[in-house]
Amino acid sequence: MDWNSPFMLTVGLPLLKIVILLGVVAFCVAYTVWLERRLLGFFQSRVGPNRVGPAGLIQPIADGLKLILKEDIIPTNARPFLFRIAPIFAVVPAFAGFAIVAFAPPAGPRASFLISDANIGILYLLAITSLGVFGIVLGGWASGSKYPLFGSLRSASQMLSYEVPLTFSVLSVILMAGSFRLDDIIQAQGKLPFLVPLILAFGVYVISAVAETNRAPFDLPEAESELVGGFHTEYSGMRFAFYFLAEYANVVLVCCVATSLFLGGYKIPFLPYETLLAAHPWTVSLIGLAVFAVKAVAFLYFYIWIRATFPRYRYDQLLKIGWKVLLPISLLNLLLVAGIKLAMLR
Amino acid sequence: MTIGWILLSLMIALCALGVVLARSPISSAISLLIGFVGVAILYLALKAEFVAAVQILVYAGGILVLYLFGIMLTDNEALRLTRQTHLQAWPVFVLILVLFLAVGHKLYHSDYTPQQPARLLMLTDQSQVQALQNRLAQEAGAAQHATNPQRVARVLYGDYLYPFEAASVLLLVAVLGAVFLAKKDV
Repeated sequence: MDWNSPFMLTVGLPLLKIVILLGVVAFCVAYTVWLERRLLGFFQSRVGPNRVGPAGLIQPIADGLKLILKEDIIPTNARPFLFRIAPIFAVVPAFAGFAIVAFAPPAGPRASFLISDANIGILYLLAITSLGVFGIVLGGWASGSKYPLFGSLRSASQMLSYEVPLTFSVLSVILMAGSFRLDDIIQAQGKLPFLVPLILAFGVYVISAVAETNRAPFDLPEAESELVGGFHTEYSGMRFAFYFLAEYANVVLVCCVATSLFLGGYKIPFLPYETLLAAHPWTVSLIGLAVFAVKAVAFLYFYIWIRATFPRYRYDQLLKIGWKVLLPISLLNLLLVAGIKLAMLR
Repeated sequence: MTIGWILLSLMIALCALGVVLARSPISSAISLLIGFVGVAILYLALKAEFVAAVQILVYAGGILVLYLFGIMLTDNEALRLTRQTHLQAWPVFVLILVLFLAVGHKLYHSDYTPQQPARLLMLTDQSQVQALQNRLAQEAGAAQHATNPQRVARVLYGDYLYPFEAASVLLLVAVLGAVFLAKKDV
């Protein structure tokens, strides 16, 4: 096979990367669920799933098989076509977001660890994740039942509200790095991860990201005590699995983005990557990949820890936190960063 | 490339028709969503990545969600019982056709080039025009290496700063008006 032919460079190689990435992300999503259930068990002084395979490691596969084999029920009141396609609207943006994440330094001109080196990078990510709300809104509405409808309305207003502080916190990162490209942002953190100078933006990002992915303590769209299962109450089988997949893919995506934006991505502070990369491209690339994975999993641990620690907020409290606390803080932070940047330019 | 462009344009046109012809408001909204995504792909094909991202972020991710909100919270039963007609469609169709032909004719017979900025057209002195053209050529050479967002920024905050600021003030007024109208008496 000729790896240098134009067809391989423009179609074959990207397609191969996409297939590998989809497989890796699906695997990560399955084991994020396993990690969450094990950790929640640990936090709550109980065992958690440990029966299927060693330490319950085959549990995600068993769960997936069960969901595939279940009957796909469409309620009488539902609008069948919309009900069928709504989960796809949720899954596609969650997976498409991974296209611009730079997982490791490139080992060569054709061996980069990202799919698209778009110069609008992070803007694409914000745009594509803002489409995820359609899956939830349409699914809730198409179910033709009141609990899903209320769940989807709640989640839509929640996601719209928290998108604003999230975008502002990301904007301060863009201002610091001077670029939309995730790789440039990681390069700008060579000496110091943005976590230290942008601690305020990091806090706003974490809280908004928890709200954006509809997880505890902001999991009001699926608050069991009020809304049964929220927007996916009427879903079963594989369509339910799609919503589940979308939620956890979004969690993994948030971990990867937080790692790139605030934790320095694949960089270890003060390690001269460029000179090492020229000498041993593949070794350094794989070490970078491992560093990225360790940081992302550490953030994931933190994320699950939040879920285990905080009780669920009331709905009015949720919107109040978004508009009256996080938005002013993120605006103030943006102003501060812009001022410092301007002073440095002088 | 041309076949792709034709298919894409056809898809956008069909979606636009779906928005105005569909009887169910939700079908209209979904046609609009697919149309927005199609237009974004068109922008991408024209190498205007920034505009494509903003198109999705603002129109599909923001405004259309608000539309859906409005549709879901309104009374669907009452909407289904009211008789819906497309009678207004014909006069509007004629009006739009005339507008389309007028704009198309103007565009077809104009020597408008996208590189020609507005300030060049306002100058009358030939030497000034020459100087500005030289400077623009230099800037264009520098812009070759600039990324898409950087070029957008240069135009937006350079050539068109005052209209941009005026638009932002107008939006602020609209936000204040909406808050005033929606707020209950305290």
